[in-house]
Amino acid sequence: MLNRPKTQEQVCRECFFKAFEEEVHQTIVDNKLFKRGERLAIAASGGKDSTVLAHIMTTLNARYDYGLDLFLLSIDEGITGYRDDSLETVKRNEQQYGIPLKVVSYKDLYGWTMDEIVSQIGTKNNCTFCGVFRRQALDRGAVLMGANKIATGHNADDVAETVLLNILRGDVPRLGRCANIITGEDSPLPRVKPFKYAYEKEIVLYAYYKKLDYFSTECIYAPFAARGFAREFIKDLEAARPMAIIDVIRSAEDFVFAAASDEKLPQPRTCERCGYISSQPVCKACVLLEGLNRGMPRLGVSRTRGRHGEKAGLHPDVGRGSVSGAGSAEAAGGRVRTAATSVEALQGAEPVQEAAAAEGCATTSSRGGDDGGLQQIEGGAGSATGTGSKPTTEPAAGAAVRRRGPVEIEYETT
Amino acid sequence: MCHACLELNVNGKVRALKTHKLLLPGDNIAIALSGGSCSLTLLSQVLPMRKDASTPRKERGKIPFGLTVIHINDASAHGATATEAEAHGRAVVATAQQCAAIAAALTAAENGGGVGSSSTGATSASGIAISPGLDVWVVPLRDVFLLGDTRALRREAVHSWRQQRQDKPAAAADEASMPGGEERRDAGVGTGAAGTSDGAEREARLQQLLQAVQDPTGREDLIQHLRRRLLAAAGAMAGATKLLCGDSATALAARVIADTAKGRGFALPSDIQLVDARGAGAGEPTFLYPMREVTVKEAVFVCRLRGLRPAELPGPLLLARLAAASSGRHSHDPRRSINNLASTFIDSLQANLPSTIFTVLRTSSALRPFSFNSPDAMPATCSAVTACGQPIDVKAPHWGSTDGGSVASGAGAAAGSRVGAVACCLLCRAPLSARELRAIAAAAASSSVAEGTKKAGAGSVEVAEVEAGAEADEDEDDAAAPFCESCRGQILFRPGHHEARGGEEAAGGGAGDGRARSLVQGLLPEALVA
Repeated sequence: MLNRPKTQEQVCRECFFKAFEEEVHQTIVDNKLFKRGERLAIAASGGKDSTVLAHIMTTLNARYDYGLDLFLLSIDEGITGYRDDSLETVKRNEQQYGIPLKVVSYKDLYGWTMDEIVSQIGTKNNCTFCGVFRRQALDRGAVLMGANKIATGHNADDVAETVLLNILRGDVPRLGRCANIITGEDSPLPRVKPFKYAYEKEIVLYAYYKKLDYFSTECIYAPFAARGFAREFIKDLEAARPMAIIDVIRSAEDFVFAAASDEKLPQPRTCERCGYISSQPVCKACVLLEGLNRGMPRLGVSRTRGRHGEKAGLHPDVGRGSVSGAGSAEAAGGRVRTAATSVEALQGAEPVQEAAAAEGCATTSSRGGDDGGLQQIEGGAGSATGTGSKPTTEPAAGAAVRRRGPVEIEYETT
Repeated sequence: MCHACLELNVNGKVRALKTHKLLLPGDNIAIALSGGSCSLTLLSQVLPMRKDASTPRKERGKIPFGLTVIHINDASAHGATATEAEAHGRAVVATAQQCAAIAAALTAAENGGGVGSSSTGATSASGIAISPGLDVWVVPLRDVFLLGDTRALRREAVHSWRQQRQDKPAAAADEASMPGGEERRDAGVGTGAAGTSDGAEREARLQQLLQAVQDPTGREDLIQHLRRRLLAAAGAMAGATKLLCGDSATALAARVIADTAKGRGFALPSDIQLVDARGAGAGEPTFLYPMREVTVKEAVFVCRLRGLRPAELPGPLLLARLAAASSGRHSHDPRRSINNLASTFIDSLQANLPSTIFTVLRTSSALRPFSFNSPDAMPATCSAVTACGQPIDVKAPHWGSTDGGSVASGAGAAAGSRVGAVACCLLCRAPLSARELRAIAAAAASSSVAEGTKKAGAGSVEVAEVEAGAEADEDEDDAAAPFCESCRGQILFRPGHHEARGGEEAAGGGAGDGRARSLVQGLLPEALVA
């Protein structure tokens, strides 16, 4: 017998499992999250949410015959002592649930691991980097595997915290979107949150009683996160009134925004460097990466204005020359090729010869299969990195800065 | 920030009322004074804006308007004894008079000791006698049960006035300050004794109502809703068209967070604007919130600078007493109220990051306000003194008419005579969202014919009938009552109901709980739910 956190009812174990699974099923059905025959990437970190998600999706897919093609997608941020352990868990999950696994790493995609990033920028804004990079990494991994949808394990507590955070930060556009159960439905790769109404406590209970295999340490950089305040408040709220978490989500769903703010909302377009979806000329990941590569860690993180009052971040014309060859390749169709060229493009302002070399790899890889392609890209990117993009880009970067003039006013060295 | 700048800053925000034409000559306004620093600051800023009626010539920058100060005494609702509540009321009056005296002194200083207020206006008596008079009307919360009965309300008003001016030849002041006839004075004298005994009975009813609400947040919110209704009625009684409240920016930011946590996301923008003309159609004054950009800290400083001392309830003492005295079930209620949590949260964030409050307010101002939040919704001041007859509640029956409960196109409220019909909760007057309306309509539609006698569209107070009905009928009738989900969950119905929303069905609610479901609804003042 246990006390259900969400409703304070006394139920037996079996009834709890049933109730929990039914609620998730109901969420999926009511919100029409899936269509028959879709290929679904389950974002798996090895933590409780994604493990339970994998378990439940497999169970419900079989029980209610959703007709979905499932696979696990995992991201290796390169955090020792945390991510490498959790990845082991995901590999075990692959065996346990019988669904294939794909691991994409920051090192391969961007040339930087989180540990390296933190050593460069400190612990204050590292969550920004990790989050931005992970989102892209998930999308690229899913595209590479030919998925139609991504399912993440965000639970009710997460959504409630996000709502609160956005109110506190004054982020109105995000506030309007964060409580949606499907985001990006018009994009080729929508994301769904089947656990949107599931409490974190219940997920833990479920995993515990079902004896699911999951990794339960929090990220070693987590104590520095701003989300901590919102989280504490949500926990207090839950103690005062368990339904309050759902109420926060409902409030966010009910928010009606004044029309005026709509006009100022940015419209989605594509990044000029890598082709990823972006609201600015250059996507955030490219901006951050540029900052990392050039030893300017505040680039894209703190607010600056260009000399002529332009927006902070990279001027769209910077680094054009080096990736112009790649640019034409991007314009061409083909997901694998886009991913391939964008991988090398993400390296930032590279010397032209290295770009050509990487492009060469890309073209060869496009002939191969998906997986093979990726390995070759990784090899190509690896070599590009190996030839020391950092030392070589610095003089190039220095040249770039000189060429452009003092666009970035803030320049902090760690 | 130096003292002078602070005063100017706060003053400027309040004076903005004048620039936005929200405060016009010939207006009759009321100020809600809780005795706390914010409302006291508001009073001290508004008083100097007022033209001294003693000189006929125009004074620069001053507006002639009639002013009443209303204090809703809810001390007893928070656990104070009767004597303490009385004492608190008197303390508030004294603070108000002190404020008036100081303001008068300041004005006198400005005028170079000129006409009007005496420069020795230190004693409250002379200050009042000479200046146009600061009418402070202390209304105990229990009078919310008199809401439908304006004559009775007036009687109580006279009673409290008389009590204030016991040792003064107050007859003249009474007549001058109150628009009215002989009969009320006589009524006041004659029914003075009767008034107090009724008062005790009303007090008991109030306590019973509050005890019936089991959720601590719900109880606090209920007190606030009742306060607000009483304030509106009192303001209407005093003939005011506008009612100024001292809600600070800090309070507003905490309210944003708390309302989000209660699921009131749709109604949120209606409570945080400068103008709130919800009750205009019923003859109630428009609520204005000129202090919404002033933080509590600033208000406290201004009070200190001006030598004003706020009269506050001894909060912790009352809480401890409540905890000790309440019986069994509530003896140690570990649940803190959500309001409390939200304000602690905001305070702690603000301590580290002073922009928190304003960022929260800026975010919430991105939400679309309702039609009654626009100054156009205020009735024209010429028709100020509306008849204080039975208030017609325009909100109740308009279920079908509003398309999904959404806003009638904002600025178009022609001449602001009647606010566009926005379906609102009966208790807290929150606009109902489309989802809530659908649920109510569905419940109303599915309720059987027998229940048709209980007005399916409006809350029913015939508790007896409801109890006689079957369990299922009760569910539907309750669900068909026009209350917002938040009121329904935390105030009206049993606490289990709230949690049961998480489960698939509310079945097995328990036979015993059936009665408790409508208990609170039955205890509410009739005028509110009629």
